[in-house]
Amino acid sequence: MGAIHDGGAARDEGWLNMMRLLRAIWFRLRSIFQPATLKAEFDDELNFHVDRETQENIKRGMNAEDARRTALAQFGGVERFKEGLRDEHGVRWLDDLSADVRHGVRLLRKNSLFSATVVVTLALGIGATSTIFAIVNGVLLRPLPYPSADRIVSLSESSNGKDQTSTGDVAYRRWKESARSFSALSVYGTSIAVMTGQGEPVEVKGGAATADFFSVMSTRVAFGRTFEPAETVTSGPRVVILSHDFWRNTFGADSGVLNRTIVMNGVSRRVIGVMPASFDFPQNSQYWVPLIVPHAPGFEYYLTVLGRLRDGVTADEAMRELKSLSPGVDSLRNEYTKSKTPVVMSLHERLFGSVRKPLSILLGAVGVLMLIACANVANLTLARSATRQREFAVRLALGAGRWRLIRQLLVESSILALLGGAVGLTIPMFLIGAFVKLSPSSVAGVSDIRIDGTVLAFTLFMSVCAALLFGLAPALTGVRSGTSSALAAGSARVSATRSQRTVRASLVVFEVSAALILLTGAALLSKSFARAMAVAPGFVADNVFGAGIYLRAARYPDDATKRHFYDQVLAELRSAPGVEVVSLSSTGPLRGFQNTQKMSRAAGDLNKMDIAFTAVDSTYARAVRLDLRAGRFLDATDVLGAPRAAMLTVSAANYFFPGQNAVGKSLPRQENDRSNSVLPIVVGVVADVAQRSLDVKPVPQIFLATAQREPTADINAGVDGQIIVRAALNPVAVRALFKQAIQHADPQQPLTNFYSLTEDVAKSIAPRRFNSLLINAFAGLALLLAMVGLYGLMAHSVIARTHELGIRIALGAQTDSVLQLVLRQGFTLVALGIVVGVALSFALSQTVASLLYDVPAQDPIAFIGAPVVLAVVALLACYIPARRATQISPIAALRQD
Amino acid sequence: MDTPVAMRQGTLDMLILKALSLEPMHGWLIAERIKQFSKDALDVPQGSLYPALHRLEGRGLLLAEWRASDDNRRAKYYKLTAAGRRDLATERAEWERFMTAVQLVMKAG
Repeated sequence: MGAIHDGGAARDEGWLNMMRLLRAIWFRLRSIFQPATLKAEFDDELNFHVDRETQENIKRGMNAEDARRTALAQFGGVERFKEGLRDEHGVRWLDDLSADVRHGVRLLRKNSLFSATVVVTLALGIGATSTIFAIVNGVLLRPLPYPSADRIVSLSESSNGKDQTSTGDVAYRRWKESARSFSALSVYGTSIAVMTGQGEPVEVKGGAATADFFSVMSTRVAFGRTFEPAETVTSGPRVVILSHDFWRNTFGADSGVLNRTIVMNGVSRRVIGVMPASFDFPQNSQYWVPLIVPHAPGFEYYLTVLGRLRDGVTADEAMRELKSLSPGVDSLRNEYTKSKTPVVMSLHERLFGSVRKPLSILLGAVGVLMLIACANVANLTLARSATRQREFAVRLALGAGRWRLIRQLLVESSILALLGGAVGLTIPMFLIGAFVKLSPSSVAGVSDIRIDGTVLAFTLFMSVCAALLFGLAPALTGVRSGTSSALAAGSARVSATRSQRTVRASLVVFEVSAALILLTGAALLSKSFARAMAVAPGFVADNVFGAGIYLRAARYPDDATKRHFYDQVLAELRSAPGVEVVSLSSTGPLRGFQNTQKMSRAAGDLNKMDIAFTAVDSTYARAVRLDLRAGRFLDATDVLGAPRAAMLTVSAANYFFPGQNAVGKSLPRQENDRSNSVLPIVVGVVADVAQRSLDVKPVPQIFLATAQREPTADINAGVDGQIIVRAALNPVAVRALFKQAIQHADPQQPLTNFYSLTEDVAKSIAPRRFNSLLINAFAGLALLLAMVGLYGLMAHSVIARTHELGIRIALGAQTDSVLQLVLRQGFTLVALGIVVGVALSFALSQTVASLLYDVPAQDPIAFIGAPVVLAVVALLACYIPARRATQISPIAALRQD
Repeated sequence: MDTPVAMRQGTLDMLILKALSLEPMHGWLIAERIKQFSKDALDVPQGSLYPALHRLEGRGLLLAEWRASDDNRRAKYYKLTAAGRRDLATERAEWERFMTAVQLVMKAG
């Protein structure tokens, strides 16, 4: 009973306090939102009281006039009364503030050139910083959208210190069996399926996962259930879980979808569940099917493994536990696959680790740019506060509080900084769109980049910081020094104090050195980009189009059926007008490689090398225009029965036959090759072909003729792959041709992975182009700002020295010596800045090393070129004020005081 | 009539709350009531009455509304909120404790 009563009282208490708070807030807010009404209410209340008191006074026998005067007198001054009310409403500070703001705006408008310079400078700094922050926020800072996502780890193995990003099935089985660090361990992969039965066949992306996958992700189905262990074994029941989107789009969000059957890759699968809309892993998955962990004696499958760390276990501890299991794993492995080291890293790191470095560097670069912008603005305000010292001195002398003056200055700098921030926000609006377009779509999280509350808050924060940074120092020095000396000086000009001059000179030295760091970085990245662009890709991309077609085993069980399909498609493409060459190969340029083998130069040589194998038909070399270096291309003569032929890339030829002519030699027999098959003979050598990207060194590659392949029963080793054409047509037309040819050959087969090689080439270096572009833009801005700062300082110093220079000229100083005098002053600062900048760049250069391509981190050209460029521009920035110094008229200068 | 007793701000707040605990009223009447209750000993200075009313309103102890007065003019009426009523009770208790203590001291020895 008592408890219930107490509960009620507590609730009443909370309610009361809430109401009180709301009333109090509204009471204060009215002074901002309803100032006129509030004022009228004050008047009404006062008038009512006075009238009432007047009536009373009349009743007491006074005449009307006296009655009213007495009533008013009781208030002791009507204005003071109102002032009292206004204080209660908190209106006063608002009035003061708005007076400061009005005064500030008036002053800033009067000095519109100064204000515009400051706003533009800050807008550039804040805009650039916000852009990179928005990207960092979208890609790196936002946590993965799964419950306690920081416990999800990606497991892999490294070999010779290189993370393979995958785990052999032998190791996975052992870990799953024995590791105690994980509450769940699973394998997942991406999957592609052709859905038939609902009109035109469509290809959809999905995921494949073991039963524990959903425990690892800690995500439940929206309804239905996830996989049971019995479903993740060979010949288990065929089931599928649908994504929320797919369920909505294909089944109209029908809740009766459970137990319905859909046909995927020709296999009927029963729907057992639907995931919630928020679940999207692997990215863009429309469905999930059970993943059956493959197993074959003497062979290792590579798996993508995810685990959920048990509470209280760190990734390092888990890694140590897995290491302790390594001997057991090695006992099950052969000499080629053993001695690998387990790697445990957070899933976030796995997904975003590769972009962390470049983004951090860009963020550092904009940070430096922002500091330069602030230094520049501080310099401007310092120069201005020197000329305002008389104003401060007079106001102080007239009794203005120091705090009031400081507040006035801070209000002024805040107005400028907020304006700068507002203008600066337009920069990310444009740049983020460009980033999303330029960045490789494989980078997860790119679509999450937007200007959200966090970014707005960051921009506001930057503006406030900037206001304090450039506003406070001048405010303090200005108010402190602005005492009697300034008044006593009495002259029209008050020169800056010695300490102010030192501060300003140091700011310029800082700006120069900071700009030099960015310039050096920009030089390094630009050179890398130029190097990457200059890489001969080993093919001619113009007019090359292709599609990666994967025929499903269920529909195409053997080589003959596949062959039949491809023959039909290739024949139709070949007959199309505009198509010059048509070819079929296992993979194409920039399509990666599917098949690599570790090979040695000779039997017994333990020094092995990964070699990529590609099966091509007789027209491949002409379709992509490989660059022949020796011998001949594989051609129509390389058929079954003819001597087995191989075409090597230069790096493969150099590996197998260093310093020799490879043509005519046969490839060395590998020790695991126990067959007596005839070894291929090298018929030609071609330039290396870029496989992943122009800026990734290709793996040595061997091309073999598809026509010479022995027929095999292994359905996985089919002729699947790339249809590549060279056609002087636009991409849309070629795409239509492909689609038509495939439709004619098999109405159930969709066109997949269509691409234009030209676009792929551009995409492969887009991130490098983007980084290089941005850093160059930042460096250019930094240089501009630093030079404006230098110029401003020099110009100001020449004006301050007019008197001295006038005397020198009057005493017969030559134009050259005056010029030298001023230039020497400027260049002392520049030289100091360069020395500091070069030293800092050297210290920082290793941090960008991983972003460079074919350029050493301490590249002499960058380290000499950047200071030279800076010095030349600085010379110009100093020359203009110096030139003006020589034109000082001695008479005018002397008369000035 | 004796000279009116000078008043401290906290005391005035308490008196206002007390006056309003009877019924909602406008500023003039509040001053009048306090004067009446104290048999003219307490004369509320107008210059501090209204700021005090607005302050109490701002603290959420009073609620103000405009309505017609008995002589049919628009007047600002104040009434106690629940929070105000509670505040009055606390202040009254404290006041009484203080008064008792002071009396004990003054009557001692």
